[in-house]
Amino acid sequence: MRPCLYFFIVLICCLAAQLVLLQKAQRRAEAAFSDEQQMLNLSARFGLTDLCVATDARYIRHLSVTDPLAPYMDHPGAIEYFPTGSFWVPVR
Amino acid sequence: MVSYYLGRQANILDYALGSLRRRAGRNSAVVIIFALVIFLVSSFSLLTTALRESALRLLLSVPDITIQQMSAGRQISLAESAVDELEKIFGIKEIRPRIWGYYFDETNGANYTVIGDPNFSIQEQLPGLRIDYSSEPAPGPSESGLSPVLLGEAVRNNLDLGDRRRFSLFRPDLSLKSFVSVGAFESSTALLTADLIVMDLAAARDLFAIPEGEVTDILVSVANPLEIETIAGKIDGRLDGVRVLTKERIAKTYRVAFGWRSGFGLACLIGAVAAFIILAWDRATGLSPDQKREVGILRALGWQVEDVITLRFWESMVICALAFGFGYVLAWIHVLYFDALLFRPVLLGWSVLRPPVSLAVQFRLTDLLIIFSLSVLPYLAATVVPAWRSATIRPDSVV
Repeated sequence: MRPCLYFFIVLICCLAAQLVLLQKAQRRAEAAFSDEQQMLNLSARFGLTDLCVATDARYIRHLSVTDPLAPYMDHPGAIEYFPTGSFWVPVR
Repeated sequence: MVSYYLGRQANILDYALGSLRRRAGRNSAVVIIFALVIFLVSSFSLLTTALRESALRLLLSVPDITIQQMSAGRQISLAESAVDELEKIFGIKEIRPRIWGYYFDETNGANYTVIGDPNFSIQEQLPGLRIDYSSEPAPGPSESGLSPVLLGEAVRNNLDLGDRRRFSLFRPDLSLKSFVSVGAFESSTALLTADLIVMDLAAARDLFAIPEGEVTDILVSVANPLEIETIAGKIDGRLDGVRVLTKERIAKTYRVAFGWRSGFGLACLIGAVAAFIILAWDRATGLSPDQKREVGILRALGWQVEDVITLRFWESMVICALAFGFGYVLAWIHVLYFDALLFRPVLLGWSVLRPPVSLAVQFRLTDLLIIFSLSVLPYLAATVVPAWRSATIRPDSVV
């Protein structure tokens, strides 16, 4: 068999794997839909405004309703020390 | 004509694959490093897209307007009398003063989010909400010191309640306030509720020792969604020193919250750029004597400049395609099956409560094109000049 056929077989395998992964993602998204409806109700009932992804810093846990982020926000000269702070873009 | 062209390209591709195989060690290393860079960048992109999309879908029902009192750039308690002022504004459907805050559990270092809800009632079955109400009866009048609460899954696990329903938290003066759990939010809603302790307004006021007549914030619902901005402007004008957050503002926050401008995003990008600089430098700093001899022989055998450039293009294309194929598939496996295991330490940070991060990953063509243009195109561009230089070598100077 020609070498280029091996190359195309590898690429087709990658593509097939990607399609399987997309299908899996689609199934998970469909399963999550009913949970999302419940979470929408909870958000409306209790006024929940933020995702519970990290719970260490208040300005990460409730990003959208926190104090406006500023350098040295905790006290003059304070540096950001929560690792999660590096993952999120500050609110403007 | 087409079959001749395709056959010619296939022949050159065959030769390119053979050429790459002759330097298998070096080229494999390039593919692996390149795939790792694409894996890292793609994983970050998939994770942040999933988080952003989840936030935007789940936060559709957030309050129309949230009012906070600010002092010296910080949020402080808000006078409940502001409600009287708000009631004068036409178009407001509902006003809900609320007390909420964080409770730091010194025994295990966890932060809980305590929400005091003015409409909280143990008789309310909250239709449509997934709350597993305990089968035991709610506390009677003889247990009036106990405040009923709903617990998030992570809080319940962290308090290690087991079959018990009662627990106590410290007030600021270190006296104990007792609670009884009347239900728990289901784990399927943990993305919003994992760290919640929901109770009535009076219990939250008692726990945080917030004086009568003060609340943390006020939630406002507006009858006509088109008037949210107008009413927010009116509130801002009538109440001094308040910050008025609209639903749109919250959505905007989450639209930009996860992105390449974050420190971690920049670290990923810098890694990718550094890898490309190294690869480009490697490619641009000249050909080995073996490669020069190979090109010289090909030119002597009748290959044109165009053919040699095509050969170099196919070599680069093979490396790019393999690296992109492997890296992108691995990124999907990483985020879909392992819930972004490598990023989780950064994502969770020092959180003691660790909500499950199970996200609905979605394919976005724009994200794919961005990753492609950030990775493959620079590599191909970096190989253009070396390809031209190698193609124009005079056969008699190297053979």
